[in-house]
Parts: sequence; structure tokens; C-alpha cells
Amino acid sequence: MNQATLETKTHLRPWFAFAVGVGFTAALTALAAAPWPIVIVGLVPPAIAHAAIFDLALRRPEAMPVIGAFMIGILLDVIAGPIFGLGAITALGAHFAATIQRRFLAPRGLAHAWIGLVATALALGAGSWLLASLYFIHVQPLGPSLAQVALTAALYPPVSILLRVIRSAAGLRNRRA
Amino acid sequence: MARGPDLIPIDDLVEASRPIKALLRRFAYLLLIGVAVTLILIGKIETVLIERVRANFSDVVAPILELLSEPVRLARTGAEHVVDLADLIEENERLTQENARLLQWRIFAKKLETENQSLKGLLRFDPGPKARFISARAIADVGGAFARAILLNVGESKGVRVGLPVMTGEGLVGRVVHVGARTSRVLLLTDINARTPVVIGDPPVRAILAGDNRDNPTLKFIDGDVTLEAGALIVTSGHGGVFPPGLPVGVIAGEVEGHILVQTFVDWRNLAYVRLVDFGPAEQSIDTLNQPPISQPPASVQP
Repeated sequence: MNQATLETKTHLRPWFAFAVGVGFTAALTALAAAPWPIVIVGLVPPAIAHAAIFDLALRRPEAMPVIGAFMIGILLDVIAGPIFGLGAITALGAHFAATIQRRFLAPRGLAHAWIGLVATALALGAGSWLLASLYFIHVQPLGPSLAQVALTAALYPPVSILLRVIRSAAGLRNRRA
Repeated sequence: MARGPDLIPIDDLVEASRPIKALLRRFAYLLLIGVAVTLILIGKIETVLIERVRANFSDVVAPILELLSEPVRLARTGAEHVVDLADLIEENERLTQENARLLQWRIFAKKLETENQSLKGLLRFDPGPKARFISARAIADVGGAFARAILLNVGESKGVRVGLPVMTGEGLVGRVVHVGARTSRVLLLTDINARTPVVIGDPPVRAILAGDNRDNPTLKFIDGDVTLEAGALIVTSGHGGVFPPGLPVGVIAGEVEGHILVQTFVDWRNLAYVRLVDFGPAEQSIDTLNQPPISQPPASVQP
């Protein structure tokens, strides 16, 4: 392989990481929007997109830059958001939470990341609930938000493992903080 | 090693974009949150514009959503088959009894049909256009924690239009609120923005069925000082032209903290397939408060 090809590859690497990370998260977001028969906690779908954004921003920031999180948020809003723009804000929130926790969480294992995700999901759930209540000028039921947090927390480990497999298959190794 | 001439533009581009990238990175969160807040405000003011964007986008992603919802549908069908197999004997017994009951109904229906035809002939009655049904599949649950809505795989190309009632075999699901070329968005009765004029029981009492993003909507603005009993049937009233009269909605489940809760006929967790009912132009729906609901046979034919 000559030097020119190598350098081209180096230039394209962040774009490749971006395409893999954001593309896969977008696919997960669309999959989560499918009408799953969730019989345990009602009709609330888990915030898979937030879990994926959090995990990628934590483990491989190039694969989920802030603009990628914003794009996923807009996708959430277009597919499902009751409030256009709320999905973008929460996606940015998930990214920001991962960024500020990266130094502590990135070198550690899944269990630590999971605790970080639960804290983030709770904060995002509370923030969304508050914003939705203000937007509709009506206090929203807390149950669906809590159910969404619980489902997101429960599904984070498989999502994280899946993303690790994808990153590994795409040749994108984890970044240590 | 000498660089190839094809690499220079990329290097230049990367170099030139570096200060801009640094600036954007520094203020990225603030900038994007600003954009998101602007979108919220635009969404609040220009709902039509936002919904048009959504409808167009839904049309684009519909094939992907449909493809992704296929394994979900197969898994659901598989699970239902397993349950069905386990209950086969019981189900057979139930169906045998039901069949015997339906045969009795068939005799009544035949008799009524003949009677109806002869009476129509006497009155020269014009029944008007028949209802048209469009079957559809839910390809996405577009609700979430703060909304209750589904996306269907049919749109304008199949004759769907805004306002059409959406039903299952059990009862009313909601109504079409936005239509794209190949998809349509349905606002469920349980959505916080859903307000459905209904009548309860016999004699009919008017009320408004109000969703609050929970599985059980509540009754508001109940007409008169009446006592409503649990189990009383609720159907659409046809007022305001939102829905035609007589569509089955549910029954009164009970009263909790001063709110009358409604148990809908529709199982919200099983909305794989629905049908859209086109009763014709809205002007034809008249206030037929005293007509029996279409879900119920006239009292005279009850076996």
C-alpha cells in the first residue's frame, strides 16, 4: 500500500467512524420506532438513541461528534417527537453527559458506564418531562418518563455490547481518556 | 516521500477549515441547543410546516421502517401462534359455542335484511354512499413518553385523507391527522391532544373523551348532573364532525380521584393492523344522537 493511499485513509478515517457511528445509531433509532409489543410497562419505547449516543460519545467520540448527536436528535423528532426540537435537545444532553463523564468512565468497564447512563437517563427524563409540561401547559404523567428511563437502563448493556461489536468489525477501537 | 498532486486540495481544505472547526467545536453545544430551541418555537407557531416536513420525511423513511417492523411483526405472530397452540382445545370449544350463537344470529339477520329491504322499498329510502375501508399496517410507534401516535403504511396514494377515523375490529383507535404520499400519522384517542365527542349509555349522555397520554382516557364536560355506572357503553356522538356517530369507543371503567376513567375496546399494545373508514364527505355525518351505535344490533334482534 503506497503512502498516498495511507494518507487518504487517515483523512477519511474520522468520516468513516462518523458514518459507522451515526449510521448505526440512526438504524437503531428507526428500529426502536417500530411498533414493538411492549406489554410490561405500557406503550413507551426505550430511548435507544440516547443510549447509543451516550455509549459512542464515551467510547469513540469520532464516531459520535456533537453534530452527529444533533442529527440523531432531529431524526428522533421527525420520526416520533411530539415536540419538534425536544429530541435534538435530549440527544445533545446525552452527548454532553458522556463528554463530561468521559475522563472518569471511558477507562472503566460497562458497569461504571451503566451507572453513568442511568444518571444521564434520569436527568434527561426529568428535563424532558419538565419541557413537555411547559410546552403543553399541562403537567405530564411521570409514569411514562420513568418507564422510559427504566427500559433505557435495562437495554443499555446489550446496546453497548452491540456497538462494541460493530466498532470492532469496522476496525474502530475504543479511545482511552 | 513526495506527495501526489491529488492530496494537496484535501490538505489545504483541512488546513483552511481548522480555525472554523475549532470555533464550532468550542460553541457547538450552545449553537446546536439554540437551533433546537428555535425549532421548538417554530414547531409551536408553524405546526403545519413542521407536519409537512414530517410527512415528507415519513414517506422517505417508510420503506425502511416497514422493513424494520417486519421482524417485529413476525416475532409477534410467532409468539401469538405459540400461545394459540397451547390453548387449542379451549379455543375450539369456545369457537364451537360461538359458531352456534352466530348461526342463530344469521337467521335473525336474514329475517331483518328481508324486512329492511321491503321497508326501504316502501319508503324509497336512499341509503347514500357505503363506507369504504382501507386496511393498513402500523409501521412505527411514533409516540413516546409525551404523545400517542402511530404511523401507517398508507397515504394519499391509497385515498387516505386527514380526519378519517381509524378502527380495529374492537373499536375506535383515533383519527388521521397528517397524510403523506405513502404514509399517514394517526393520533390515538389516548393522546394528550385528543378530544373526542362521545355519548354514554342509554339514555345518551354527552361528554368529551380526553386523552392524557395514559392507557385509560377520561371523560370531561359531562352533560347534566347524571350518575354514570361502570360498564356503561361509550360511542362517538358525531358532534363537531370529528367522527361519525356510533363508533364504539369503550366502557366506563370506574372513578379514580374524581376522574371517570374509560376502558377502551382497543388493545393499545396490539395495534399491528388497523382499518381506516371513509364514510364520505363530512357534511353527510348528521347528528344522530338517538341512533343505535353500529357496534350493537337493535334491541329487537338480541337473542
